[in-house]
Amino acid sequence: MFIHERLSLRAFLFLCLGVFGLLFYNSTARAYTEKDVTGGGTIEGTVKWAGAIPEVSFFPIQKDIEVCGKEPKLSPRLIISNDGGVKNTVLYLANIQEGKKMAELPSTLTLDQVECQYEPHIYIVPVGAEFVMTTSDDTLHNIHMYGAANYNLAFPVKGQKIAKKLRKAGVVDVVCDAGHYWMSAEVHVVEHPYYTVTDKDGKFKLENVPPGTYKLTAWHEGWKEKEKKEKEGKIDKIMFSDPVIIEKEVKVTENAVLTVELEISDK
Amino acid sequence: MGGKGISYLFIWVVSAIAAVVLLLKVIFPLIFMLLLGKPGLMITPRTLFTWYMIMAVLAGLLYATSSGVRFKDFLSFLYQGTESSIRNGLFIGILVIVPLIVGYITYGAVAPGSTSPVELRIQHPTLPGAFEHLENPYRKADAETQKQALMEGKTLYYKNCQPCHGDAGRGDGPLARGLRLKPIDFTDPGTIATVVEAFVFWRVKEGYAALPSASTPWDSAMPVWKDDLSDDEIWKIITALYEITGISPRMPEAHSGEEAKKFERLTPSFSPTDGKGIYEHRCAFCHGFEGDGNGPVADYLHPRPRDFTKGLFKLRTTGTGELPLGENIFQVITWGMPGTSMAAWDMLREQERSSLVSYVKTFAEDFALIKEEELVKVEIGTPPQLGTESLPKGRELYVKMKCIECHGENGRGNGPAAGTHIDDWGQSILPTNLTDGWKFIRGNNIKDVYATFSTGLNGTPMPSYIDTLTTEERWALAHYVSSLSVNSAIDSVVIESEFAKSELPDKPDDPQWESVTPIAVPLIPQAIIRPRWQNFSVSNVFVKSIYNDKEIAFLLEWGDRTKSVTHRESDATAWDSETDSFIKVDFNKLNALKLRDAVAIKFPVKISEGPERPHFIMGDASKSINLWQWKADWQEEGKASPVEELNAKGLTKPPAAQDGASQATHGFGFYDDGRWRVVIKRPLVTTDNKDVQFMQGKLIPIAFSVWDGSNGEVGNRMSISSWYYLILSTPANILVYMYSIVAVGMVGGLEWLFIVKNVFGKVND
Repeated sequence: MFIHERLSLRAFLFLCLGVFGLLFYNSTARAYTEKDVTGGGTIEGTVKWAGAIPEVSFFPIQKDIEVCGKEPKLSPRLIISNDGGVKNTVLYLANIQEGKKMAELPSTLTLDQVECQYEPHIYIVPVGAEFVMTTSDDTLHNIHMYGAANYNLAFPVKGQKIAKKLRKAGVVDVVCDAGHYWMSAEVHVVEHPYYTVTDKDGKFKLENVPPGTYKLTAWHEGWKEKEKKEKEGKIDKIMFSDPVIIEKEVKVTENAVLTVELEISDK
Repeated sequence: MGGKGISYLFIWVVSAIAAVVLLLKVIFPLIFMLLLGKPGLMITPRTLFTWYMIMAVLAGLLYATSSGVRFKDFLSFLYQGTESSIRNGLFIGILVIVPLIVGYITYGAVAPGSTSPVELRIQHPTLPGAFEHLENPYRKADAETQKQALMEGKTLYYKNCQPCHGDAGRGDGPLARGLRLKPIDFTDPGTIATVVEAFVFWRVKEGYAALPSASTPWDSAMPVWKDDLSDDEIWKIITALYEITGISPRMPEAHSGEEAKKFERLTPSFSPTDGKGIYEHRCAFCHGFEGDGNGPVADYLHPRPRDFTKGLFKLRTTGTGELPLGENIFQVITWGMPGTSMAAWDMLREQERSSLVSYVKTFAEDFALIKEEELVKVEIGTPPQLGTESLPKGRELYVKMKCIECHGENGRGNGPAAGTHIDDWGQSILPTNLTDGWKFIRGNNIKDVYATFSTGLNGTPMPSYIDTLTTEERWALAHYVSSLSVNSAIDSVVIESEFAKSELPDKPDDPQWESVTPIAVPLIPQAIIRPRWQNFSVSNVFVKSIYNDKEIAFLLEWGDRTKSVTHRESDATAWDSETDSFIKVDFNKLNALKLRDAVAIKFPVKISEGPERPHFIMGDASKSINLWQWKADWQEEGKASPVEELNAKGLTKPPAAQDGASQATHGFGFYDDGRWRVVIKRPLVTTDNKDVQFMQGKLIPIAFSVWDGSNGEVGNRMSISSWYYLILSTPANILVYMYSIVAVGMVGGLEWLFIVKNVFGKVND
């Protein structure tokens, strides 16, 4: 009898949690309201590497040397400056409900394929916006998206341009299936404008934030080689570790500049 | 009698035959249905129908010719016509055309050629006494036990039986294509509906080996399941089989009254009509009860069953990365996917298939979030007039669009990027071999290929070209690609070796081969004995043969994406640790092995005058086969001959090489652009009594095996063919024409005697 009661109590709690979660999901995760921000604060800082700096990985070119170049490609997945700043980390305020206009988002809406690499490497795209892809390479590429979008587009001709709407928020991994195993890009399809990417020194800045408490989130793609598929000394595919996500609660006060230091490590 | 202008007797005979058709097709099925209380018509078995019809026609003719008057009346339609021109026309027609037809048939029968011999077999041999009284233990079990047995039985059926008999039991599994003796279609009323369960048990347990000669065990691929399955498992499979097909077994005769009541539960009662019910009854064993593509048998299937939870579907008429339309899923359920385990489910009612579509959509949340109207649709339309001039344009686009990167110069799926791909689930995936059109999951007509370019295949590396090419360009490219699977090879059971006056060619590129028509021999993986192999690599071998007065030569061609010319014997035995009777599909494991490519031609050592021959795969204990195996690594190493002569007596023992002095075969293989072309030669006659000996005009059973080393194939893990026939053709001689002329003369003369003299003569009197 005792067990029975506890079970039903637990079931009830779960149900409550579920209903609560659903309400929460509906009220916050979905909606973002634009408003005029007065007395907005700024969050700025640096994402730094903690611990010994790992050896840079290079990817040997196995195909289309005349287009891709014969020099091995430096991994775009983890770039650390001499001062230990980590480039290409995406920072955002999770679940922010209202604030500045979407137009203020520092978005990146055009992708190019240059010497068998995506230019640039990280993209911030508002939900529903057109994402324009092109190629400067005279070889076969395809843009194969995984995650929040699943387009698979062929780029066999230099100069060709394709625009697609990204309709669902979330992260999109981009790869090429045409033998260029080293090519990768990350696209964040976002619902609010409080997103930014660290520069080569690991620096970032989020401006015009309405005063309040937020969860500042740093997202960095996985860089560790988890699994390598090789055949007769040639690399077919490299699977990387999952993205690293760091969260920190921050309090923004009126017209103030908040400096935040974040650390990413190999652990 | 005469003079009425209409032959009543003729009408009578024709109506009588029509009545028999009606009786067999409608009335009997209806009577039996009502008598036995079945839910559907009891359709007369096809073979029975054919025999009854032959008898009915013969009886009609017998009656019509039983007296002169009747015969005259019967034929009166010939000469009682009012218009004499019609009459004359008919008269001349019959007098001329019938002898010519007979002459043609005679020519066909006596001319040396590729007519296949008549192959008769008894489908239901006598059940051995030891099995007669066996009963299915699950028929009398309680409902819970029965349900449990059904679940296990279905899992076992889909894993072990589905490859040949198909997932609906219709004998149309993915391996059926390569079997000339087709797997039984259980839904044919002449099969499991007419036998007691003990019979099915015997057939499953003892397999081909227990068949009497009259049932041609040498052509049967039915495994001897007692080697791998327990009696209990076999009963579970049988219970499941009747449920899957919705058929009741014949009741054992001993049962009547109260006993029979117990057996009433024999009738499968479970026939859900809602989406979830049908899904769990039919689909979940591969696609998983959660729709995640991880059903109990998924690991053995290649390609793997679709995971519905990601909302990624290959066959759509929506843009790349989009969800499919409901009608797209409906089409796949209705028509299946060629070359895969996905059968056509047209046996389900339309409403049932629609409810399946709705249920499949519940697995991926996107279906609830995105409305069908919001999806980007791709209009396929109808192809424009595509003349041969669009082929060069298509080829140009094939090069320009760099299709070659993955699909290869000639579409054999062997481009430079081939082998590097994984799908969205992290599984290795190979570019489609575009010369193997029968395996295109969407179909291989121009419209299907066009749809694939335009929509891409979601979840795979195949992108969409809708933004890259104009509609017109895509049609031209589709035209070119679908032309790649058109092959000049013919589908015949008889391989004719043509006589050559010159020396036979040593090399595959010798121009002598160009004038010989290839025969396409379909291949399937060996799945009759463990380790059972379901993972297709080589699915066709094209065969040509020529001979002269000393030797015979074969040219074998097959597609293989990778050239494997090294062989590590330790890798060949790497499979011994496999405990499962089927090999799980794991490309990472397969690709790591160093195994050779090889091909073998197989013959019976002794060619019997009767129909008997050794079992088609590797012979059997009493009848040995002679193999000529060409090995890619032997050629690479520069051995004196890359071909080895061996003898095999069944699959359990590896074939034994003949001793050095008996080795008389030679060969040469050439690999280019995803294709092996191998010539094998041997003297027509040898002194070795373990060798097959060739003579003109005789049908010699011949079969083939191919091993793709990079696909992990060695030993019994191979592609195999059914028995074909080889004939060393002799040019048609004067005697053949004589026979034909005699036949024409004889029939013409008889006609004159019977019709003209008897009927016309008297009428004209």
